[in-house]
Amino acid sequence: MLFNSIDFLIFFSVFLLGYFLVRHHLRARNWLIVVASYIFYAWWDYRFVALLLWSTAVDYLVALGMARWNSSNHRKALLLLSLVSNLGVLFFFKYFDFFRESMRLLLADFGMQTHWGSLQFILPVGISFYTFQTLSYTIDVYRGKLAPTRDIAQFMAFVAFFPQLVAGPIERASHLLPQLATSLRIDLRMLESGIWLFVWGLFKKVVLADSFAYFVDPVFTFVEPEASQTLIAVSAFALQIYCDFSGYTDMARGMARMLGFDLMQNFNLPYFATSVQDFWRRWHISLSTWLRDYLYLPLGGNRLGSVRTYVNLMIVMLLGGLWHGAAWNFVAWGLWQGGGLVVNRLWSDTISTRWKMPAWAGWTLTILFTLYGWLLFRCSSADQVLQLTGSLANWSPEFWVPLQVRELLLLASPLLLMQIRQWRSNDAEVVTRLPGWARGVLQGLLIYLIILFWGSEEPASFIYFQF
Amino acid sequence: MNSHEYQINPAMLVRLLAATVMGLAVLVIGIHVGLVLNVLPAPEVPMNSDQFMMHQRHEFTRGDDRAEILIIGDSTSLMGVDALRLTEQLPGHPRVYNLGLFLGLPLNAYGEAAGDFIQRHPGQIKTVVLLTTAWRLIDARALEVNIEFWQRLRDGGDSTPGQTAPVLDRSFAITDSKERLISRMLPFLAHEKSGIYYGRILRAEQHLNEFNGTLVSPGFYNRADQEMVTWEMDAAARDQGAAIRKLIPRDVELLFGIMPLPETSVSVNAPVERANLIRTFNETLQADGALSGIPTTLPDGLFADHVHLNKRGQEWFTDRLAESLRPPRGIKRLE
Repeated sequence: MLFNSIDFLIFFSVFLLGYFLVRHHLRARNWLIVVASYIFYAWWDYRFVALLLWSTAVDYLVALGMARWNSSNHRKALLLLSLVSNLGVLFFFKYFDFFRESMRLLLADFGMQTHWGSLQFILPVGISFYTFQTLSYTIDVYRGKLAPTRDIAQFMAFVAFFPQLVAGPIERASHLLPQLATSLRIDLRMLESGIWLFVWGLFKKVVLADSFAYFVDPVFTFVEPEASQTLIAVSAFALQIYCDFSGYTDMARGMARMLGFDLMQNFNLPYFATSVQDFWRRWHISLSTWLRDYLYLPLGGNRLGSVRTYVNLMIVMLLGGLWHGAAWNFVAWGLWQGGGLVVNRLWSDTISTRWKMPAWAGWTLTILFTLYGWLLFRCSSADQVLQLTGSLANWSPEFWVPLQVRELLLLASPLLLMQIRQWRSNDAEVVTRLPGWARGVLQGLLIYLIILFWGSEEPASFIYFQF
Repeated sequence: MNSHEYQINPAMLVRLLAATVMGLAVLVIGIHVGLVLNVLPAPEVPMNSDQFMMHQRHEFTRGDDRAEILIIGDSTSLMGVDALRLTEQLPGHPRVYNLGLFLGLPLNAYGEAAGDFIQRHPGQIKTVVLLTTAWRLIDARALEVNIEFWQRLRDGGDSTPGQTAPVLDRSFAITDSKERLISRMLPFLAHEKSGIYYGRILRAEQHLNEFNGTLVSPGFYNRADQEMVTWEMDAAARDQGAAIRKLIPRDVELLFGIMPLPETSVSVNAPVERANLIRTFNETLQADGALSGIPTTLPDGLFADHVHLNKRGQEWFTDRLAESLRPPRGIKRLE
């Protein structure tokens, strides 16, 4: 069930009614969230509900086991069980075919023919998100940072909370579980900001992201583009993926607020970043902080000298790239980002101690770096990467290029105006500070545009659902 | 323990929602007032890719362009024959124009396109080559909406479908806003949304002009996802074949060929089945000859999808077609 579908709007309306009815019963509320979340997940493919249940059951029991046995060895064994179970399922469904095929090609290069069958599993939607979310729980319990919960409804609701189940933000148990354990308050301000976030997110998805796709898809499927087409397509993809993913996050956070919950911020004006490091503090914050806390720091972070820091950064970004999908373009994208972070750190440790780069120069370099990263991310093969990179040297724009650029800017203008206002006021929710009538008019306009762009065909899926 | 507490009363909730509803209402009323006062721009209806192709073909048949050989057929011929390349390869360089349409129209519409051109440009056309995929003969169904659009064009009427918008659409002025505001502000997007199939409508328009009516199919073909399971001809195709013959004057040579398919999409007996199909269809088409040099299949790498050739395939096929049309001609007389 996609947020941008009539099915979901009906589902959420019915859920809100049920949510109102259970307002005096905390356990009933949590069970209602669990049931609704499982219905929501089963809407795609009911068979994968078993995977969700498996992850939930393993981590619930593992955490209780850790509380029961104090011995370090027991706790380690339980943590290992959780890691193997969660990452094993993820590997099996997401990466097995990729590694099998890569190995087969490698062996073929050495003249060894293999006839391994392909599993050709469908990737369970949201598996990368809820696996990381539930893993953070067992690791935090293992580290003694979090007490395990005995309330199964609370834990099930934490793993499967439908607003953020399939594309994040990847919540930490320390943030979401306490909210599931207490009585929540829903005041006017929460409702206002919740509605605004939902409408703005839906607008970003339906009006902006799905429209940017028309500037992107033909170039990435057509043969022989030239420089202007490639530049337009890559710029449009940067906008598309941002609007698509942050639109989903905004809707998730908006719905959560309408229910009295607070979900973490996932984006903070990423295209205003003035360095690669800054970009990763602003883009997909819930994943980058997860990788920092559960991978980078355990690897030693920056405590073991410069070289080890660079190696750690490369490992983390390589795995971060692979997290997005089992394909070599994501590996290349991860390495590209890792390389960017290493150069960034080298620069910080050496040159910037004597000379500080102007912010505008840092921004320009970061944007160019990010755009080429998106080219790697969007390409479907190494040949296409080479073809599109090569096309940048062939400048022969078609007659419609000025028209395309004008429209791209026109489409991007609502986003740009909003973000400039957010940046200048240093307030991500600047719109909610507007007088009620002004916000009403703005929401009315956005809803009207959503209706116009809604389309009669199947709603377009979110890019991050495939991860 | 309480689950959650609403610190909001019904009046606050109404005020909260009323602001948005009022905003939306003011906007919709404004558009309706604009429509009544006739101050909004005139509607500009973006055509979908099929309508765009029919419109372009119709304009060509009525225009001043010259041609001596016409290629007609479905989208496999539209995107399978480079008419400019063919012109350059034939002796004396007779101008070849690709007047191919698409599968969503009946076969006789292909003949009507050629017939209209011949009627308006007497004495120009020497040869008409009908090229179609075998799928077209096996399933001759077409889309009513396309047939209506094509007929309206040929009758010289308004090409815009006269539809009554549903109540919700009318209340919110959705179609009016799309056609008068969005299409005007974002013409590229409005066209591209419906033109994605041919790569881009703007690209298609330019390509059609540069390459004598030819298009290139975007995309890459990996493996067969649809296998030809039967070669039995649709009875409707026979009638449509007879209609084509009536539309092409007897002094114009009518040739016929079936476009190749990806090699992984057919079984081993495909050449025999295909030969039968050509013979059966020609019983009503009464073509002057069949292009015998066209292979039943080509390597998958020459295709953009399960029927359309890609750029490389188009070049390869055009060269073989030129060989068939050059003397000594690779044309088989059909009984």
